[in-house]
Amino acid sequence: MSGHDDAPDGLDPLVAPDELVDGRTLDDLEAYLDRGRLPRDPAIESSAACRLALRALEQVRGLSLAVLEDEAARLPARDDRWIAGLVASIKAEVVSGRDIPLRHPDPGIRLAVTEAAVRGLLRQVGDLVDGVLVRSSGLEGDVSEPGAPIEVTLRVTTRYGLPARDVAQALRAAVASALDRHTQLTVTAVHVLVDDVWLAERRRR
Amino acid sequence: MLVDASDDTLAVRARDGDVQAFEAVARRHGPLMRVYAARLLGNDLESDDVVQDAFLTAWRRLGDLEDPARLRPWLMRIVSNKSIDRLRVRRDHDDIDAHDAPASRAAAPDRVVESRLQMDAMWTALDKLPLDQRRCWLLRETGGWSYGEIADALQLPVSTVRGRIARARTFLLHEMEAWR
Amino acid sequence: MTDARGRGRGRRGEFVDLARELTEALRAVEGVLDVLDARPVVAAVRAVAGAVDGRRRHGLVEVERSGRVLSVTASVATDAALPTPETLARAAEVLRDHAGQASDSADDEVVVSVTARVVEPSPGR
Repeated sequence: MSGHDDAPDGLDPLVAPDELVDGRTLDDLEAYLDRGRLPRDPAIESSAACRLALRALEQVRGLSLAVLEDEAARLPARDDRWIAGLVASIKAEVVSGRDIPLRHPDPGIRLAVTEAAVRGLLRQVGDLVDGVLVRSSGLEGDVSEPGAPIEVTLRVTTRYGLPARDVAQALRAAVASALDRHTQLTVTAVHVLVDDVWLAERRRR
Repeated sequence: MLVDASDDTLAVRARDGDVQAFEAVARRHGPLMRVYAARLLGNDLESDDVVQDAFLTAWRRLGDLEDPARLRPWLMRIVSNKSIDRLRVRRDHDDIDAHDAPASRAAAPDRVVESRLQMDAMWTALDKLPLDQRRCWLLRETGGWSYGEIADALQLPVSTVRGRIARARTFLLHEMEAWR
Repeated sequence: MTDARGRGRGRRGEFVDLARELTEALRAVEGVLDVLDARPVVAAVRAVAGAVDGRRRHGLVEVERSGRVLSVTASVATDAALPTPETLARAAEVLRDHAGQASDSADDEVVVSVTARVVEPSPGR
Protein backbone atom coordinates (compact mmCIF):
# COMPACT_ATOMS: atom_id res chain seq x y z
CA MET A 1 0.00 0.00 0.00
CA SER A 2 1.27 3.46 -0.85
CA GLY A 3 2.51 5.72 1.91
CA HIS A 4 0.41 8.57 0.57
CA ASP A 5 -2.66 7.59 2.54
CA ASP A 6 -0.98 8.07 5.87
CA ALA A 7 0.81 11.25 4.95
CA PRO A 8 -0.70 14.45 6.30
CA ASP A 9 -2.78 16.18 3.64
CA GLY A 10 -2.75 19.63 5.14
CA LEU A 11 -6.53 19.40 5.57
CA ASP A 12 -8.60 20.71 8.41
CA PRO A 13 -7.77 18.25 11.21
CA LEU A 14 -11.30 18.63 12.65
CA VAL A 15 -12.87 17.03 9.63
CA ALA A 16 -12.68 13.28 9.30
CA PRO A 17 -13.07 11.90 5.79
CA ASP A 18 -16.00 9.83 6.93
CA GLU A 19 -17.88 12.66 8.64
CA LEU A 20 -21.52 11.87 9.27
CA VAL A 21 -24.43 13.92 8.08
CA ASP A 22 -27.51 12.97 10.05
CA GLY A 23 -26.17 9.47 10.43
CA ARG A 24 -25.04 9.05 6.81
CA THR A 25 -21.46 9.13 5.60
CA LEU A 26 -20.55 11.24 2.61
CA ASP A 27 -19.73 7.99 0.81
CA ASP A 28 -23.33 6.87 1.35
CA LEU A 29 -24.69 10.16 0.07
CA GLU A 30 -22.44 10.10 -2.95
CA ALA A 31 -23.51 6.54 -3.75
CA TYR A 32 -27.13 7.73 -3.43
CA LEU A 33 -26.40 10.49 -5.94
CA ASP A 34 -24.79 7.98 -8.31
CA ARG A 35 -27.99 5.96 -8.28
CA GLY A 36 -29.88 9.04 -9.40
CA ARG A 37 -31.49 9.27 -5.95
CA LEU A 38 -33.44 6.11 -6.71
CA PRO A 39 -35.02 4.31 -5.10
CA ARG A 40 -36.06 7.33 -3.08
CA ASP A 41 -34.71 7.20 0.46
CA PRO A 42 -37.23 9.03 2.69
CA ALA A 43 -34.80 9.32 5.58
CA ILE A 44 -32.29 11.15 3.43
CA GLU A 45 -34.83 13.26 1.59
CA SER A 46 -36.49 14.42 4.78
CA SER A 47 -33.20 15.46 6.36
CA ALA A 48 -32.35 19.07 5.63
CA ALA A 49 -28.71 18.46 6.42
CA CYS A 50 -28.57 15.54 4.01
CA ARG A 51 -30.28 17.51 1.26
CA LEU A 52 -27.82 20.32 1.76
CA ALA A 53 -24.91 17.91 1.63
CA LEU A 54 -26.30 16.32 -1.55
CA ARG A 55 -26.58 19.74 -3.14
CA ALA A 56 -23.03 20.58 -2.15
CA LEU A 57 -21.82 17.27 -3.58
CA GLU A 58 -23.63 17.86 -6.85
CA GLN A 59 -22.19 21.30 -7.10
CA VAL A 60 -18.64 20.19 -6.45
CA ARG A 61 -18.94 17.32 -8.91
CA GLY A 62 -20.55 19.47 -11.57
CA LEU A 63 -17.97 22.18 -11.08
CA SER A 64 -15.12 19.73 -11.53
CA LEU A 65 -16.15 19.19 -15.12
CA ALA A 66 -17.34 22.75 -15.66
CA VAL A 67 -14.03 24.21 -14.61
CA LEU A 68 -12.15 22.01 -17.07
CA GLU A 69 -14.55 22.98 -19.85
CA ASP A 70 -14.17 26.60 -18.91
CA GLU A 71 -10.40 26.36 -19.09
CA ALA A 72 -10.62 24.49 -22.37
CA ALA A 73 -12.78 27.23 -23.84
CA ARG A 74 -10.21 29.80 -22.85
CA LEU A 75 -7.33 28.07 -24.56
CA PRO A 76 -6.13 30.12 -27.47
CA ALA A 77 -6.57 28.50 -30.86
CA ARG A 78 -2.85 28.12 -31.32
CA ASP A 79 -3.05 24.52 -32.19
CA ASP A 80 -3.44 24.15 -35.89
CA ARG A 81 -0.12 22.43 -36.16
CA TRP A 82 -1.09 19.47 -34.02
CA ILE A 83 -4.33 19.14 -35.99
CA ALA A 84 -2.44 19.11 -39.29
CA GLY A 85 -0.15 16.37 -38.03
CA LEU A 86 -3.08 14.34 -36.77
CA VAL A 87 -4.99 14.73 -40.03
CA ALA A 88 -1.96 13.63 -42.06
CA SER A 89 -1.61 10.44 -39.98
CA ILE A 90 -5.27 9.71 -40.28
CA LYS A 91 -5.42 10.21 -44.03
CA ALA A 92 -2.82 7.49 -44.39
CA GLU A 93 -5.04 5.13 -42.45
CA VAL A 94 -8.37 5.52 -44.21
CA VAL A 95 -9.61 2.02 -44.84
CA SER A 96 -10.24 1.73 -48.58
CA GLY A 97 -12.87 -0.96 -48.60
CA ARG A 98 -13.48 -3.05 -51.69
CA ASP A 99 -11.95 -2.22 -55.06
CA ILE A 100 -14.61 -1.44 -57.65
CA PRO A 101 -13.11 -2.39 -61.01
CA LEU A 102 -13.51 -0.32 -64.17
CA ARG A 103 -13.49 -1.92 -67.61
CA HIS A 104 -10.66 -1.28 -70.05
CA PRO A 105 -10.12 -2.95 -73.44
CA ASP A 106 -6.46 -3.65 -72.71
CA PRO A 107 -6.08 -6.71 -70.45
CA GLY A 108 -2.75 -5.40 -69.22
CA ILE A 109 -4.47 -2.39 -67.71
CA ARG A 110 -6.42 -2.75 -64.48
CA LEU A 111 -8.41 0.18 -63.22
CA ALA A 112 -10.43 0.57 -60.05
CA VAL A 113 -12.13 3.01 -57.73
CA THR A 114 -12.24 2.16 -54.04
CA GLU A 115 -15.39 2.00 -51.98
CA ALA A 116 -13.90 4.68 -49.74
CA ALA A 117 -13.57 6.98 -52.75
CA VAL A 118 -17.21 6.38 -53.65
CA ARG A 119 -18.35 7.03 -50.07
CA GLY A 120 -16.43 10.29 -50.05
CA LEU A 121 -17.97 11.25 -53.38
CA LEU A 122 -21.49 10.50 -52.17
CA ARG A 123 -20.83 12.59 -49.05
CA GLN A 124 -19.85 15.52 -51.22
CA VAL A 125 -22.77 15.35 -53.65
CA GLY A 126 -25.22 14.73 -50.85
CA ASP A 127 -23.95 17.71 -48.85
CA LEU A 128 -24.49 19.90 -51.90
CA VAL A 129 -28.24 19.34 -51.71
CA ASP A 130 -29.68 22.20 -49.70
CA GLY A 131 -30.50 21.34 -46.12
CA VAL A 132 -28.80 17.96 -46.20
CA LEU A 133 -25.81 16.57 -44.34
CA VAL A 134 -24.78 13.03 -45.27
CA ARG A 135 -24.04 10.69 -42.38
CA SER A 136 -23.03 7.52 -44.15
CA SER A 137 -23.43 5.53 -47.33
CA GLY A 138 -23.15 1.93 -48.38
CA LEU A 139 -23.06 -0.20 -51.50
CA GLU A 140 -24.72 -3.57 -51.40
CA GLY A 141 -24.04 -6.22 -53.98
CA ASP A 142 -21.03 -7.69 -55.70
CA VAL A 143 -19.18 -4.58 -56.81
CA SER A 144 -16.43 -6.62 -58.45
CA GLU A 145 -18.76 -8.33 -60.90
CA PRO A 146 -19.56 -6.21 -63.97
CA GLY A 147 -23.30 -5.71 -64.35
CA ALA A 148 -24.18 -7.06 -60.91
CA PRO A 149 -27.13 -5.18 -59.40
CA ILE A 150 -25.99 -2.71 -56.77
CA GLU A 151 -28.21 -1.01 -54.21
CA VAL A 152 -27.06 2.21 -52.63
CA THR A 153 -28.16 3.36 -49.20
CA LEU A 154 -27.61 6.94 -48.14
CA ARG A 155 -28.23 7.98 -44.54
CA VAL A 156 -28.66 11.69 -43.97
CA THR A 157 -29.71 14.33 -41.51
CA THR A 158 -31.85 17.15 -42.88
CA ARG A 159 -33.13 20.56 -41.91
CA TYR A 160 -36.55 20.39 -40.35
CA GLY A 161 -39.35 21.57 -42.59
CA LEU A 162 -37.94 20.42 -45.91
CA PRO A 163 -40.37 18.31 -47.93
CA ALA A 164 -38.98 14.80 -47.47
CA ARG A 165 -39.98 13.56 -50.89
CA ASP A 166 -38.26 16.40 -52.73
CA VAL A 167 -35.12 15.94 -50.70
CA ALA A 168 -35.05 12.21 -51.35
CA GLN A 169 -35.60 12.79 -55.04
CA ALA A 170 -32.83 15.36 -55.27
CA LEU A 171 -30.46 13.02 -53.45
CA ARG A 172 -31.33 10.05 -55.61
CA ALA A 173 -30.65 12.08 -58.73
CA ALA A 174 -27.36 13.40 -57.37
CA VAL A 175 -26.20 9.94 -56.31
CA ALA A 176 -27.19 8.30 -59.58
CA SER A 177 -25.42 10.99 -61.58
CA ALA A 178 -22.22 10.78 -59.53
CA LEU A 179 -22.06 6.99 -59.73
CA ASP A 180 -22.75 7.07 -63.44
CA ARG A 181 -19.89 9.48 -63.98
CA HIS A 182 -17.30 7.86 -61.76
CA THR A 183 -18.10 4.16 -61.78
CA GLN A 184 -19.56 1.59 -64.13
CA LEU A 185 -21.87 0.11 -61.53
CA THR A 186 -25.38 -1.00 -62.38
CA VAL A 187 -27.33 0.83 -59.71
CA THR A 188 -30.75 -0.72 -59.27
CA ALA A 189 -31.91 1.30 -56.28
CA VAL A 190 -30.94 4.31 -54.20
CA HIS A 191 -32.42 4.24 -50.70
CA VAL A 192 -32.43 7.51 -48.81
CA LEU A 193 -32.88 7.27 -45.06
CA VAL A 194 -33.32 10.37 -42.93
CA ASP A 195 -31.80 9.49 -39.56
CA ASP A 196 -32.25 12.83 -37.93
CA VAL A 197 -33.39 16.40 -38.44
CA TRP A 198 -32.08 19.69 -37.19
CA LEU A 199 -33.87 22.92 -36.45
CA ALA A 200 -32.53 25.88 -38.34
CA GLU A 201 -32.02 28.05 -35.25
CA ARG A 202 -30.28 25.35 -33.21
CA ARG A 203 -26.51 25.55 -33.34
CA ARG A 204 -25.75 21.86 -33.45
CA ARG A 205 -26.93 19.59 -36.24
CA MET B 1 -21.91 23.37 -41.91
CA LEU B 2 -19.88 20.46 -40.62
CA VAL B 3 -18.60 22.59 -37.78
CA ASP B 4 -22.19 22.88 -36.50
CA ALA B 5 -22.99 19.21 -36.84
CA SER B 6 -23.89 17.19 -33.74
CA ASP B 7 -21.37 14.81 -32.17
CA ASP B 8 -23.59 11.99 -33.38
CA THR B 9 -23.39 13.07 -37.02
CA LEU B 10 -19.67 13.82 -36.86
CA ALA B 11 -18.94 10.43 -35.29
CA VAL B 12 -20.97 8.59 -37.91
CA ARG B 13 -19.31 10.49 -40.75
CA ALA B 14 -15.86 9.94 -39.33
CA ARG B 15 -16.62 6.25 -38.97
CA ASP B 16 -17.70 6.33 -42.61
CA GLY B 17 -14.20 7.60 -43.48
CA ASP B 18 -14.64 11.38 -43.51
CA VAL B 19 -11.35 12.89 -42.35
CA GLN B 20 -12.83 16.39 -42.23
CA ALA B 21 -15.52 15.26 -39.81
CA PHE B 22 -12.85 13.78 -37.56
CA GLU B 23 -10.91 16.99 -37.73
CA ALA B 24 -14.03 18.79 -36.53
CA VAL B 25 -14.22 16.31 -33.65
CA ALA B 26 -10.59 16.96 -32.74
CA ARG B 27 -11.09 20.72 -32.73
CA ARG B 28 -14.25 20.47 -30.70
CA HIS B 29 -13.11 18.06 -27.98
CA GLY B 30 -9.34 18.36 -28.08
CA PRO B 31 -9.11 21.33 -25.72
CA LEU B 32 -11.12 19.69 -22.94
CA MET B 33 -9.17 16.47 -23.35
CA ARG B 34 -5.93 18.36 -23.11
CA VAL B 35 -6.91 20.24 -19.94
CA TYR B 36 -8.19 17.01 -18.37
CA ALA B 37 -5.03 15.06 -19.26
CA ALA B 38 -2.86 17.86 -17.93
CA ARG B 39 -4.71 17.74 -14.61
CA LEU B 40 -4.34 13.95 -14.42
CA LEU B 41 -0.66 14.02 -15.27
CA GLY B 42 0.23 17.11 -13.28
CA ASN B 43 1.76 19.06 -16.14
CA ASP B 44 1.03 20.47 -19.60
CA LEU B 45 4.00 19.04 -21.45
CA GLU B 46 2.89 15.46 -21.82
CA SER B 47 -0.79 16.19 -22.30
CA ASP B 48 -0.36 17.18 -25.97
CA ASP B 49 1.21 13.83 -26.81
CA VAL B 50 -1.39 11.96 -24.85
CA VAL B 51 -4.24 13.72 -26.62
CA GLN B 52 -2.77 13.17 -30.07
CA ASP B 53 -2.32 9.50 -29.26
CA ALA B 54 -5.88 9.36 -27.98
CA PHE B 55 -7.25 10.76 -31.23
CA LEU B 56 -5.28 8.31 -33.34
CA THR B 57 -6.67 5.45 -31.30
CA ALA B 58 -10.15 6.94 -31.51
CA TRP B 59 -9.93 7.10 -35.32
CA ARG B 60 -8.95 3.45 -35.50
CA ARG B 61 -11.61 2.33 -33.08
CA LEU B 62 -14.58 4.38 -34.28
CA GLY B 63 -16.20 1.15 -35.35
CA ASP B 64 -16.39 0.18 -31.66
CA LEU B 65 -18.41 3.23 -30.68
CA GLU B 66 -21.86 1.78 -30.19
CA ASP B 67 -23.73 4.99 -29.50
CA PRO B 68 -22.27 7.80 -31.64
CA ALA B 69 -24.10 10.38 -29.51
CA ARG B 70 -21.87 9.40 -26.59
CA LEU B 71 -18.76 10.48 -28.49
CA ARG B 72 -17.44 12.77 -25.77
CA PRO B 73 -17.51 10.35 -22.82
CA TRP B 74 -15.96 7.78 -25.14
CA LEU B 75 -13.13 10.15 -26.04
CA MET B 76 -12.65 11.04 -22.38
CA ARG B 77 -12.28 7.37 -21.55
CA ILE B 78 -9.65 6.93 -24.23
CA VAL B 79 -7.65 9.92 -23.04
CA SER B 80 -7.97 8.69 -19.44
CA ASN B 81 -6.46 5.38 -20.51
CA LYS B 82 -3.67 7.02 -22.43
CA SER B 83 -2.87 9.21 -19.42
CA ILE B 84 -2.76 6.16 -17.17
CA ASP B 85 -0.43 4.46 -19.65
CA ARG B 86 1.83 7.48 -19.50
CA LEU B 87 1.82 7.30 -15.71
CA ARG B 88 2.88 3.66 -15.88
CA VAL B 89 5.88 4.59 -18.00
CA ARG B 90 6.70 7.31 -15.50
CA ARG B 91 6.39 4.93 -12.59
CA ASP B 92 9.06 2.75 -14.13
CA HIS B 93 11.49 5.62 -14.09
CA ASP B 94 10.83 7.78 -11.09
CA ASP B 95 8.33 9.04 -8.58
CA ILE B 96 4.97 9.17 -10.23
CA ASP B 97 4.03 12.48 -8.68
CA ALA B 98 7.32 14.33 -8.96
CA HIS B 99 5.96 16.29 -11.92
CA ASP B 100 3.10 18.17 -10.34
CA ALA B 101 3.48 21.72 -11.58
CA PRO B 102 1.01 24.39 -10.49
CA ALA B 103 -1.54 24.81 -13.20
CA SER B 104 -1.36 28.20 -14.81
CA ARG B 105 -4.73 29.51 -15.79
CA ALA B 106 -5.37 30.78 -19.29
CA ALA B 107 -5.92 34.54 -19.49
CA ALA B 108 -9.23 35.48 -17.96
CA PRO B 109 -11.74 37.62 -19.80
CA ASP B 110 -12.03 41.19 -18.57
CA ARG B 111 -15.53 41.01 -17.20
CA VAL B 112 -15.59 39.56 -13.72
CA VAL B 113 -18.77 37.78 -12.80
CA GLU B 114 -19.93 35.75 -9.85
CA SER B 115 -19.67 32.50 -11.76
CA ARG B 116 -16.18 33.44 -12.95
CA LEU B 117 -15.03 33.83 -9.36
CA GLN B 118 -16.61 30.52 -8.48
CA MET B 119 -14.81 28.83 -11.37
CA ASP B 120 -11.51 30.32 -10.33
CA ALA B 121 -12.08 29.15 -6.77
CA MET B 122 -12.78 25.62 -8.02
CA TRP B 123 -9.72 25.63 -10.24
CA THR B 124 -7.56 26.72 -7.32
CA ALA B 125 -9.13 24.14 -5.05
CA LEU B 126 -8.44 21.36 -7.55
CA ASP B 127 -4.93 22.60 -7.97
CA LYS B 128 -4.34 22.53 -4.22
CA LEU B 129 -5.25 18.88 -4.02
CA PRO B 130 -2.31 16.49 -3.84
CA LEU B 131 -1.93 14.98 -7.30
CA ASP B 132 -2.79 11.45 -6.26
CA GLN B 133 -6.09 12.60 -4.79
CA ARG B 134 -6.86 14.88 -7.71
CA ARG B 135 -6.22 12.09 -10.15
CA CYS B 136 -8.59 9.67 -8.45
CA TRP B 137 -11.20 12.39 -8.08
CA LEU B 138 -11.09 13.40 -11.75
CA LEU B 139 -11.10 9.85 -13.03
CA ARG B 140 -14.25 9.24 -11.06
CA GLU B 141 -16.09 12.51 -11.37
CA THR B 142 -15.04 13.62 -14.84
CA GLY B 143 -13.95 10.38 -16.44
CA GLY B 144 -16.82 8.39 -14.98
CA TRP B 145 -14.65 5.49 -13.88
CA SER B 146 -15.77 3.14 -11.12
CA TYR B 147 -13.72 2.62 -7.97
CA GLY B 148 -12.75 -0.82 -9.24
CA GLU B 149 -11.60 0.50 -12.60
CA ILE B 150 -9.49 3.21 -10.99
CA ALA B 151 -7.96 0.69 -8.61
CA ASP B 152 -7.07 -1.64 -11.49
CA ALA B 153 -5.63 1.10 -13.65
CA LEU B 154 -3.49 2.66 -10.92
CA GLN B 155 -2.64 -0.71 -9.40
CA LEU B 156 -3.94 0.25 -5.98
CA PRO B 157 -6.28 -1.41 -3.49
CA VAL B 158 -9.87 -0.21 -3.84
CA SER B 159 -9.80 1.00 -0.24
CA THR B 160 -6.92 3.32 -1.09
CA VAL B 161 -8.87 4.75 -3.99
CA ARG B 162 -11.92 5.26 -1.79
CA GLY B 163 -9.79 6.97 0.81
CA ARG B 164 -8.24 9.37 -1.68
CA ILE B 165 -11.56 10.29 -3.22
CA ALA B 166 -13.11 10.79 0.21
CA ARG B 167 -10.29 13.10 1.21
CA ALA B 168 -10.51 15.01 -2.07
CA ARG B 169 -14.26 15.36 -1.69
CA THR B 170 -14.05 16.67 1.85
CA PHE B 171 -11.36 19.14 0.88
CA LEU B 172 -13.27 20.44 -2.14
CA LEU B 173 -16.51 20.74 -0.19
CA HIS B 174 -14.81 22.85 2.42
CA GLU B 175 -12.96 24.98 -0.12
CA MET B 176 -16.17 25.68 -1.99
CA GLU B 177 -18.27 26.27 1.11
CA ALA B 178 -18.40 29.99 0.46
CA TRP B 179 -20.27 29.36 -2.77
CA ARG B 180 -23.13 27.32 -1.40
CA MET C 1 23.21 -11.74 -57.43
CA THR C 2 19.60 -12.31 -56.45
CA ASP C 3 17.66 -11.56 -53.28
CA ALA C 4 15.57 -14.06 -51.35
CA ARG C 5 12.70 -13.75 -53.81
CA GLY C 6 14.83 -14.45 -56.83
CA ARG C 7 14.67 -10.90 -58.11
CA GLY C 8 17.75 -9.31 -59.53
CA ARG C 9 19.24 -7.26 -56.78
CA GLY C 10 21.23 -5.11 -59.05
CA ARG C 11 18.06 -4.20 -60.85
CA ARG C 12 16.57 -2.44 -57.86
CA GLY C 13 18.64 0.61 -58.58
CA GLU C 14 16.94 1.09 -61.94
CA PHE C 15 13.49 1.32 -60.38
CA VAL C 16 14.33 4.24 -58.15
CA ASP C 17 14.57 6.62 -61.05
CA LEU C 18 11.76 4.99 -63.00
CA ALA C 19 9.38 5.12 -60.08
CA ARG C 20 10.16 8.76 -59.55
CA GLU C 21 9.70 9.58 -63.23
CA LEU C 22 6.43 7.69 -63.37
CA THR C 23 5.20 9.57 -60.31
CA GLU C 24 5.96 12.89 -62.01
CA ALA C 25 4.37 11.79 -65.27
CA LEU C 26 1.29 10.72 -63.40
CA ARG C 27 0.92 14.07 -61.68
CA ALA C 28 0.72 15.76 -65.08
CA VAL C 29 -2.23 13.68 -66.28
CA GLU C 30 -5.44 15.67 -66.64
CA GLY C 31 -7.87 14.74 -63.88
CA VAL C 32 -5.21 13.43 -61.51
CA LEU C 33 -5.24 15.70 -58.46
CA ASP C 34 -2.67 13.86 -56.41
CA VAL C 35 -0.51 10.75 -56.43
CA LEU C 36 -0.84 8.67 -53.26
CA ASP C 37 1.30 5.91 -51.85
CA ALA C 38 0.62 2.87 -53.98
CA ARG C 39 0.62 0.50 -51.05
CA PRO C 40 -0.98 2.16 -48.07
CA VAL C 41 -0.35 0.08 -44.98
CA VAL C 42 -3.47 -0.38 -42.95
CA ALA C 43 -2.72 0.50 -39.36
CA ALA C 44 -4.04 -2.76 -38.01
CA VAL C 45 -1.81 -4.80 -40.25
CA ARG C 46 1.16 -2.70 -39.27
CA ALA C 47 0.41 -3.15 -35.62
CA VAL C 48 0.05 -6.89 -35.94
CA ALA C 49 2.98 -7.47 -38.26
CA GLY C 50 5.29 -5.12 -36.43
CA ALA C 51 7.97 -5.34 -39.07
CA VAL C 52 8.35 -2.88 -41.90
CA ASP C 53 8.19 -4.24 -45.43
CA GLY C 54 11.74 -4.79 -46.65
CA ARG C 55 11.00 -3.21 -50.01
CA ARG C 56 11.91 0.41 -49.95
CA ARG C 57 9.60 3.04 -51.32
CA HIS C 58 11.09 4.91 -54.27
CA GLY C 59 8.64 7.49 -55.38
CA LEU C 60 4.96 6.80 -54.81
CA VAL C 61 4.40 4.61 -57.84
CA GLU C 62 5.30 1.00 -57.22
CA VAL C 63 7.42 -0.76 -59.82
CA GLU C 64 8.23 -4.45 -59.61
CA ARG C 65 9.69 -6.98 -61.94
CA SER C 66 8.83 -10.63 -61.86
CA GLY C 67 10.49 -12.50 -64.68
CA ARG C 68 9.50 -10.75 -67.89
CA VAL C 69 6.58 -8.89 -66.42
CA LEU C 70 7.08 -5.35 -65.27
CA SER C 71 4.20 -4.33 -63.07
CA VAL C 72 3.38 -0.75 -62.26
CA THR C 73 0.94 0.08 -59.48
CA ALA C 74 -0.37 3.52 -58.67
CA SER C 75 -2.94 5.11 -56.39
CA VAL C 76 -4.35 8.50 -57.18
CA ALA C 77 -6.87 11.12 -56.19
CA THR C 78 -9.05 12.10 -59.16
CA ASP C 79 -10.96 15.26 -59.97
CA ALA C 80 -14.70 14.91 -59.43
CA ALA C 81 -15.34 17.23 -62.39
CA LEU C 82 -14.05 14.68 -64.90
CA PRO C 83 -15.23 11.07 -65.31
CA THR C 84 -12.90 8.92 -63.25
CA PRO C 85 -12.84 5.93 -65.67
CA GLU C 86 -11.46 8.22 -68.38
CA THR C 87 -8.95 9.86 -66.06
CA LEU C 88 -7.67 6.49 -64.89
CA ALA C 89 -7.47 5.19 -68.46
CA ARG C 90 -5.36 8.20 -69.42
CA ALA C 91 -3.18 7.70 -66.38
CA ALA C 92 -2.68 4.00 -67.10
CA GLU C 93 -1.74 4.64 -70.71
CA VAL C 94 0.81 7.25 -69.70
CA LEU C 95 2.35 4.85 -67.19
CA ARG C 96 2.39 1.97 -69.65
CA ASP C 97 4.00 4.00 -72.41
CA HIS C 98 6.60 5.51 -70.10
CA ALA C 99 7.47 2.23 -68.42
CA GLY C 100 7.58 0.47 -71.75
CA GLN C 101 10.15 2.95 -73.07
CA ALA C 102 12.28 2.65 -69.98
CA SER C 103 12.27 -1.14 -69.98
CA ASP C 104 15.55 -2.62 -71.15
CA SER C 105 13.95 -5.54 -72.96
CA ALA C 106 11.51 -5.44 -75.87
CA ASP C 107 10.04 -8.73 -74.62
CA ASP C 108 8.93 -7.20 -71.37
CA GLU C 109 5.25 -7.14 -70.76
CA VAL C 110 4.04 -4.13 -68.85
CA VAL C 111 1.03 -4.51 -66.57
CA VAL C 112 -0.42 -1.37 -65.10
CA SER C 113 -2.83 -1.05 -62.21
CA VAL C 114 -4.26 2.35 -61.25
CA THR C 115 -6.72 2.86 -58.40
CA ALA C 116 -8.57 6.01 -57.44
CA ARG C 117 -8.66 6.09 -53.65
CA VAL C 118 -10.12 9.56 -53.47
CA VAL C 119 -12.49 11.46 -55.76
CA GLU C 120 -12.93 15.09 -54.87
CA PRO C 121 -13.43 18.53 -56.38
CA SER C 122 -10.17 20.18 -57.33
CA PRO C 123 -9.17 22.90 -54.87
CA GLY C 124 -10.28 26.31 -55.97
CA ARG C 125 -13.69 25.22 -57.13
